[in-house]
Amino acid sequence: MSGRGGAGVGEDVGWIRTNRGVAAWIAGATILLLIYLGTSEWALRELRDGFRLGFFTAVAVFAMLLCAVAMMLDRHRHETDEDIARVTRRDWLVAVVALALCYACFELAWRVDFLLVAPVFLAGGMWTLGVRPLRSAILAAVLVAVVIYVLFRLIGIALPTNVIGL
Amino acid sequence: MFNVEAFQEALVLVFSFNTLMWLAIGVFIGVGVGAMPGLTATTGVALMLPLTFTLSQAAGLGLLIGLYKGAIYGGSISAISFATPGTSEAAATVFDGHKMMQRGQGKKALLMALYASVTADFLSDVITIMVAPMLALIALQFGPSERFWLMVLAVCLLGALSGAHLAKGMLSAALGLYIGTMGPDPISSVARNTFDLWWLADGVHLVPLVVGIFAMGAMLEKAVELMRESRRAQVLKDSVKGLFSVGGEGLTFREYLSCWKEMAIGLGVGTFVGMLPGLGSTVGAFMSYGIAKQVSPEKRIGTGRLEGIAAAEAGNNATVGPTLVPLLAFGIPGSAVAALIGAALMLQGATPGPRMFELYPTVVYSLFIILLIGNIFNLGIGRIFAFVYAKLGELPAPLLVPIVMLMAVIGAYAYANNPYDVLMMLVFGLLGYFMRMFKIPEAPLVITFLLAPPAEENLRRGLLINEGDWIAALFHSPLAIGLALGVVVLTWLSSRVRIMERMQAVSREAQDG
Repeated sequence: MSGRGGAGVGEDVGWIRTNRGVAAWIAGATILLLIYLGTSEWALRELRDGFRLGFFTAVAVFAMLLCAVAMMLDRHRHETDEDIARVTRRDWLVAVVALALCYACFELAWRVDFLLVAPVFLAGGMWTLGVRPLRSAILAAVLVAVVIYVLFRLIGIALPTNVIGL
Repeated sequence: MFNVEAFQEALVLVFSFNTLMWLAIGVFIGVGVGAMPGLTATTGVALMLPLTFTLSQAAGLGLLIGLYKGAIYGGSISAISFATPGTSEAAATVFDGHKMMQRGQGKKALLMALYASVTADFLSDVITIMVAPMLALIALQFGPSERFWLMVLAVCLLGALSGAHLAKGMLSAALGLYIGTMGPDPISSVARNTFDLWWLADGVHLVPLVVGIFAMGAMLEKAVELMRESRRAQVLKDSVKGLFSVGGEGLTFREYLSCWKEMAIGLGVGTFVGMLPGLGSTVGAFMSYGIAKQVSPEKRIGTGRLEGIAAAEAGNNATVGPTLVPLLAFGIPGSAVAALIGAALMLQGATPGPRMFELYPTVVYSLFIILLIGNIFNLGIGRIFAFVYAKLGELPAPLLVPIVMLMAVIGAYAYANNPYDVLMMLVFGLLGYFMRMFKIPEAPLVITFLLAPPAEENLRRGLLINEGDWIAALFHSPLAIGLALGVVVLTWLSSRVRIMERMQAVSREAQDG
């Protein structure tokens, strides 16, 4: 089975990328949440007012499951969103690596020095995404890092400068 | 009831140097955010939200409301200059604005956009100030079951109107409810749904959620796009050159007045759309544009006419004030930005809702005054710096993406000095990226996340009052039954009538012209 393609998607993108396919993944994830809920002691605990602690969580999980099933059956089920049709494993990898670098930047900036780490993160990001030549990226990165530091300092948030020691 | 002392106090607070400075900064940043393709009003407000924690209530409100007003107008600058709307709200402005730009009437088009935006924004703010207290008086009569059903109705409206696909909108709302149940329950503060992670015992904080979903999610999408494309966007530099040259043709007062009918349509449509949860300023702009086109076919809107710009810009800016009406009157945010402004109020200790008029009158009056004078700042800053902002449209995205990512990291941490907030923000960033890929609207998630605790609290209060009788707790009064029926009818209607598809059809018709 193949995606018929909505939103301007012409080529055969495969069932897995249609609304039905993605909804199946979401339904699978929701069932895992349901299992977690069913096996959690807290979910059935009755509070002093007689209310079950997991009631609203269960409502949310069932609502998610219902929506996922509805997406698998409704009139949009064969459609494929343009972005989902184009996205590749490499794109997801790029997103995850970008997030990991953000976290590394945070950890290093707070452990070492914001004014040393932020320009490296910014310049690296700018250069990777296409700012050329490298010296322009470095210049912009240093400038932006200093401006951010000063602005946050002005509003009372001191970003760490353990090495430079401002 | 009008509280003179509180009003005087609000005047002093708002007309202080500190508040006016942050209001001006908010508008200044906002117009820039709007003018830069890729950044939206919601992203800008989400990024600035953590900073309001360090500011006074009035200054924080000034920063966010100024930014919101500025961003909604700012989108028109790049829409007119490059036919690339900085925000989706300005997409309808492209039809006439860019054609005027190509004819060498860019300055006239930009000024019309500014004046129509400010006029409609100001008048809709006046309507907001009149309507919100009246609705709040009605809302004060509601009991727990009515409040519960009102929240459910708002969530259904959001799910139904936030996109063309009902199930995706409702999935987003359900996800928001799920995340909202993580952490302590609202009555007895017993931790739940924490996956045995101690740092989730306090629940998910709003700041990492909104910064992750709106700012980080959007930047991941942009970063992936940039990594995928080897070619860079070519900016039409030449068309901007001379935009504000001495010889450029300005806008006369007569021309401004000649668009009164379109501005009035924009005001009416924008105010109505703004008050309804889920629709937002993009729908306001397109509906206003479509109606103006049908009402006055002789004006040939769509061929590069001032009237088209006036209708679209009045339509989107007129939603700014009214989007706060459900928040102030019922405690229910009608849009993502209203949710963020509500969050800013909560961070400062003032919970939005009908009792706010009694408990925090100074905050309410400050908000109203800021809404009104924000327009003056928007007018001044838009008028003086429009040519600078037109250049911002040329700012390459590779420069912007790492900066916003860094700001998101700092914002998530600075709000509570909690490293786990940064981790949560990054996880929500990935979720936001997935939602963008799969066209799941983000607003229902954030709004339901905010509504989950009060909805649970009201239901449980109803149960306590009715000694555990669910039927009596849920259907306590004819109004509660009416609201419950409203939920059923709305859900059925939205699955049959395809409201958003019709809205999109109107926009396509307007575009095809």
